[in-house]
Amino acid sequence: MRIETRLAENPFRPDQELTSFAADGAGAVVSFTGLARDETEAGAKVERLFLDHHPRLTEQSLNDIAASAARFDVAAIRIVHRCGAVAPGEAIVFVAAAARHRRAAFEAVDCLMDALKTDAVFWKREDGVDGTRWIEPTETDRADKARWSDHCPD
Amino acid sequence: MAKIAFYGKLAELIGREVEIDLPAQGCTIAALRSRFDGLDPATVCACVNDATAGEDHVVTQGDRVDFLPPLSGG
Repeated sequence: MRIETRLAENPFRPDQELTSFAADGAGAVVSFTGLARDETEAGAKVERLFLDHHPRLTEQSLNDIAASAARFDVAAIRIVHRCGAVAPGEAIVFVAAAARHRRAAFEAVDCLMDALKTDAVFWKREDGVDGTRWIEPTETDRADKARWSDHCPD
Repeated sequence: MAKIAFYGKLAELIGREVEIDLPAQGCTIAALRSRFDGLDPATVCACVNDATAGEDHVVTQGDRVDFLPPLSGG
């Protein structure tokens, strides 16, 4: 399985990430793009999202999470993740999987996103007109990740 | 001397990085925590040279210590 991960300090183009992502013999490519929202869960305006990261452990976590997709029958994985200041509407994360058949590619991307939401080494802060707020994983995030534990045990 | 780095909310409260003098015999993670506010071992993970370290781990000269608050995830 080929793994490509990248920590992006500047905005990236998800369409270009998808176009340049290829795997020989793949019959399916599935991708997901996460965008920075312009409102908090409570409905307050967000002016920017700030993603603090660790100089080594963050990239290591992206690689470890990507490698966990080996449990699926996929040929290649790409993860691109922003760090630093992200404006509303900009892409935060891009995940793609290539496989011979669609089911493995769908499942790999779904599972990787759930893992990224809880295990990626980032600290996120929402900056808005009414102040700033550091974000922690929600119970929903943890439950999303847990649903893969029975299906695909480590 | 050891470098202590903080992330997320802790970096705002304490600063990104501080250098501290260590006693000749070193200093445990538990003792290091007591020098700063907000480093509850129940929620803040300690790493020494990029590996998770327990409360009894002895930090010595030249080590790099990271205190990591709960992750936000990606």
